[in-house]
Amino acid sequence: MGHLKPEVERYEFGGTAKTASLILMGLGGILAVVGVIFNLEFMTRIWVSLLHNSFFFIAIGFAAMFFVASQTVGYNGWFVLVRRIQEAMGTSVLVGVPIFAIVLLLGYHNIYEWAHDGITDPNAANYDALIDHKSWFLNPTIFFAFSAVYLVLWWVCTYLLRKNSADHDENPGLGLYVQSKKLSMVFLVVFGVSSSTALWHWFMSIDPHWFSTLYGWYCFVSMFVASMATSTLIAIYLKDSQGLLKWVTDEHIHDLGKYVFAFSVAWAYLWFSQFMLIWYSHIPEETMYFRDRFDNYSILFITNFVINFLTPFFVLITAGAKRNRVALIFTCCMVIFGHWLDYYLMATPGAIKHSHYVVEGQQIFNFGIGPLEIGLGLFFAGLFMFVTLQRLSKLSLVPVNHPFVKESMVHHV
Amino acid sequence: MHRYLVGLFDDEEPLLAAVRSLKKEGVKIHDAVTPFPVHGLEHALGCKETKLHTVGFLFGAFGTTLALSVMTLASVVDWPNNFGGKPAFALPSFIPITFELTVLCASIGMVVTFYLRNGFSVFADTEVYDERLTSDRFGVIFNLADFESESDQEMLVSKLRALGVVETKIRETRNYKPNYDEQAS
Repeated sequence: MGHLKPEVERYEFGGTAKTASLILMGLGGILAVVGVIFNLEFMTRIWVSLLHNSFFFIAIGFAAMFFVASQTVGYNGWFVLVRRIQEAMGTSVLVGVPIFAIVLLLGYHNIYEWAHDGITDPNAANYDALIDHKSWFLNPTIFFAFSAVYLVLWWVCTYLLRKNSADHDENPGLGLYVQSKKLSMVFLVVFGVSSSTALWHWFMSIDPHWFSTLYGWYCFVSMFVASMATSTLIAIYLKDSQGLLKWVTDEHIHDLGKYVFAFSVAWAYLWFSQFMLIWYSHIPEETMYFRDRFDNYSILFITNFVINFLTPFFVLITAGAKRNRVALIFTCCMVIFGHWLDYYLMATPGAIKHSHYVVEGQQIFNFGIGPLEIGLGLFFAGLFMFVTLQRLSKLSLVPVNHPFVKESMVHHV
Repeated sequence: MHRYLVGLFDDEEPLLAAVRSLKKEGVKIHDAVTPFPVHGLEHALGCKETKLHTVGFLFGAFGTTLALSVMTLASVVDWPNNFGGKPAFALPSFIPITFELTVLCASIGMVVTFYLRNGFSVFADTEVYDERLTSDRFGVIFNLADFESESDQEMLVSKLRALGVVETKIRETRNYKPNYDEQAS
């Protein structure tokens, strides 16, 4: 295989992609502002939507970096030609993490019931014994200390992995590769454990009376699928519309498609396990989580399962479909939207419920998905797209000095 | 008696090149046998896509139906019990068993189909083309029914020599051995 020579390929960020991301941001921003103006009396809705959207897009970034780390540790060669895409997604958290941190800092009081005034004070009217009992874990000090540790650790690991990869382009040899392997191991352990524990604070504690031991895994798989779908879309975009990635063949796209398919099934497995165990054991403090979603979010709840499991399962089940661009693009778009919806269903119902908004004598449980949610979603999607593609243009798309680059070039399944 | 010509190569690269060039000339290849999967060989041979997935899907669907119908029969029709106020037809609690049976039926069904289709069995009279094909030789197989005349066979052997074959031999078997497309379908 001596005749294969990896060449530097560069992506120019501009033209349609730049315009599209700016339009997304503009349109989303306008919609979001309209949504905010109409919902000024329902501050919780605004904050929880910000939490949901800002977290969803950094989660995609971190999960992409997790993918790079896991493949590096696994001595995998095939992904080398697409890894710059995931790296770029990972570095997009540079913008996302500060936004997320600001949302937590300013919004936690509205979003989390355990942060309400007097909830742990036995003499107050809204005293809640159960939350008081959990207050050693659910209190602002622990919450912010842990959040800071998680975000800083993840960010540092992501930054170092990307820097290592960038440096490798200039310095041939195995030294940096060995180093990246060690970094990846550290990141795998850190992220594997703390993505679960972080989600307890950030999302599970929105329903503070409820808990589920499967929750962390389930959230992790959700972000992982969304991240794989996003990187598949970017790879197809670079290959088909930009004429880049000339060494990436249907084989690589097929493998990315397999990840989308396989982890959609894993998601369904965990989603269902969480539901089934709670449904079957029928313990009141567990069932109320699903009771709320069944009663007030029934259509979205079912849609979530249809989009995230049945669609990818039946569309992508054959090998041919994973190589078919139309099927793959369709499924990836559905899956990204589906997991956005999944996070919406984790965050919003609990927060709206405990805010006790009463309109015309009726308590409101479900505001639905309006301009606020859609606007913020589009805005963050545009922002994510802008930063990711801009980062992508910084380095060569082919990591020319990676020891496995030739293996990736002749990849065949 | 079925007669086959076996051309043995000592590496995968010359085998792949030979298959490609023979296919280009339109020579009819019966099969290619290698000790390990060679990337691109199926494509070079022009194999039809295997139907084993479809078999797997059908067996899986059978497993799903079996599990659901037996459980429904047992706990809804025949002997309904009240478990913690759950409905007799408690679909979510049926799912784990359904899942397991689906996987079990699909996997066993596929293995059995594959074995039957390729003539593998404990009792089968296995006639391999050449024993070294499982260790260090890479073989292209031609069915001599396709090359009846003496001159055709000589031509084939000389072509193989030119393509770097290490050894050619004629193997006679009692049973017909399916070609690559027949094995896959």
